[in-house]
Amino acid sequence: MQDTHVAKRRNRKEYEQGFLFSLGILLTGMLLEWITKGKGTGLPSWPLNVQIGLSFIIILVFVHIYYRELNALKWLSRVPAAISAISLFSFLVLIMGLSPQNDPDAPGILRYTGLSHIRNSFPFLLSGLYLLTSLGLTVLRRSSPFTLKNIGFLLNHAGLWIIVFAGSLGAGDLQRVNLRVRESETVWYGMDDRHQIKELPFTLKLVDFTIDQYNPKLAYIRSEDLSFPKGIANNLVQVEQGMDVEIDGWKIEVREFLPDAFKDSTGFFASTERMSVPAAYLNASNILNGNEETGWISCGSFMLPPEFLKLDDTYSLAMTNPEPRTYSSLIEVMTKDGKLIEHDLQVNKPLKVSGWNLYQLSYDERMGKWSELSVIEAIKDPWLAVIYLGIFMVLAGAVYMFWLGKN
Amino acid sequence: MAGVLLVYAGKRGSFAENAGILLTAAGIVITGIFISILWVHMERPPMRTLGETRLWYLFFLPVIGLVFYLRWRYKWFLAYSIFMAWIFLLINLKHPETYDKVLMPALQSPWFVPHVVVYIFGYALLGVSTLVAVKGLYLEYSGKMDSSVIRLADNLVYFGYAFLTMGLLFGAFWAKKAWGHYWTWDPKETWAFLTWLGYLVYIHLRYRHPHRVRWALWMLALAFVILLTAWFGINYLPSAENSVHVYG
Repeated sequence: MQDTHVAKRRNRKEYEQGFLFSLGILLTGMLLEWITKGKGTGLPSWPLNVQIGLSFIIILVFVHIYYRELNALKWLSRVPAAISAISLFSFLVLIMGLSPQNDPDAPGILRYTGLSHIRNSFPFLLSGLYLLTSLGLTVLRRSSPFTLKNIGFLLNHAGLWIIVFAGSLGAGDLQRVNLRVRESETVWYGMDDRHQIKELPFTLKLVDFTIDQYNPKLAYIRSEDLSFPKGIANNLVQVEQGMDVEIDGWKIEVREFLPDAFKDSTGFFASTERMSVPAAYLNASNILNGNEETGWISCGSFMLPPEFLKLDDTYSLAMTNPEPRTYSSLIEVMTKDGKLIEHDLQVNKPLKVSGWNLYQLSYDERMGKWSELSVIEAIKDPWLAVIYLGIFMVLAGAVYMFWLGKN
Repeated sequence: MAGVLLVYAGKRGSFAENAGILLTAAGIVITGIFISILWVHMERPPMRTLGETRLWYLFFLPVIGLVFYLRWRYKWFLAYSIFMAWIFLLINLKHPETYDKVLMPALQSPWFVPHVVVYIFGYALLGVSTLVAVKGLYLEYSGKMDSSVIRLADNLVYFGYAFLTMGLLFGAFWAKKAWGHYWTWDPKETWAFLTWLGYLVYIHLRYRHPHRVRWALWMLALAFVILLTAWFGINYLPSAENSVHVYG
């Protein structure tokens, strides 16, 4: 069935309407931003967000049941409107992807149109509303009458609707509290993302922070500015005791590698003294001209300066700071009802306590392995279950798409 | 890779064709063995750097090409996918990596492998669909359009999109475990989302206007540009400097 002339004209009109509608929404949003002097939208929290959400759903369902024959509603639940809603939304996301956001020094025009803080701007809000309306009406239209054939469609579309709906409304209820705690210290408060102090319904004591690091790496660099020369293979190799490596015509031997060392007038010696550093004793001989250089390299620390081995006028050998393999905090958490929990908090393994999730976020990287500070993030996200429902629906829908594509 | 030449020769004789298929399969197996050895040597999944992900691309592309050839006998498709794999191979040979064992704690997660693999597979499928789109546009503009071409593109996009969706959502699950929130509008996430939206528009265009082939093909090409930006273009964008996904 080819598009007939009538159908083509109707299509064209629907797309024109879609384009104009999107443009209208964008401009309205920008106007609202202008009026509010670029302050943007706030995020509603409980109970306001639930009230808004429920009202929206009720209005959608009401309009779908009683006004479904209205042309405007039919248009809203058809593909051209979907495409224009997705396109408007994509346009805003594109700007987010191209320009740094939330810069307080952004030029006025970007701030007053909302483009410098799109995430909480009126254009984004209105675009989201357009998307939720068009998508919501589409889902309602396709679910009555309900047939099993539509299950793939419904999973994908309703799932996405739930994710956008819960993500937008739930954002106001999301709490992120950053806790910085030193060994033997107990905290029950932290900083939230608006830099306000926030109290938590439990206390947290850092018993011990441990970190395990990879061996540092040997780096072949320009002596002048410590930069990496381009096009030289092997110029960054992990250091191991007794290792032999060839870099740019130099044969380098790691005669000694001390993961924990301290420096005196004769060089480095093994030491588990606090603030010790990794060090390596190298012998480098040039294959072409037979020059030999011997000496220590070390990445240093916040206390000790780094040590380099100069090979010639242009290049030197250096040691990089070791990178973490794992790090974790042994913590004791006491809840309001007197329950004591001892736990080893690791990255990728959060702890759930009193409705909050605790995450091992980072540590004092300047002190490296001597860090006595652990940075833990406590997060409360009451809408998470709804988001997960939406995500699982879309995943099921993706599997369905996979099936469809097979024929 | 010499299998491609033989497959073309196979237009005439079925022995050449079978030899071609075997050679291609052998090439795939050898690539697979290389990746396994690398994995064991590095003591971590080789999926962190751009070069390592290119390796997987050059593994999956011939797989897809071969499967589609065996199922639907698209010769030119097999040739294209192996050609693309060659390009990645050459790039990798020209930029030898320092294969380093370091894997930061955030990446040590059971989600690391599924998230990356699913994305690479999805990107491979969508990349191939773009090749099809280019061929389709060429046929369109020279008046020799064959509807099987756009149907092939559709199949590839449906498969690829399913993987893209899974990749996006796996990433969200992992982000929740690692940094506590499933979505932070990080540049990589933003561009991955844009890619997802781009192909979403394509799918809707195809659904509603199955005969507007030209629009669809151009949309496919545009969506791929967005995909490329999400894949490595962000390493060059100023807004992406602070992304948690930029590892080099």
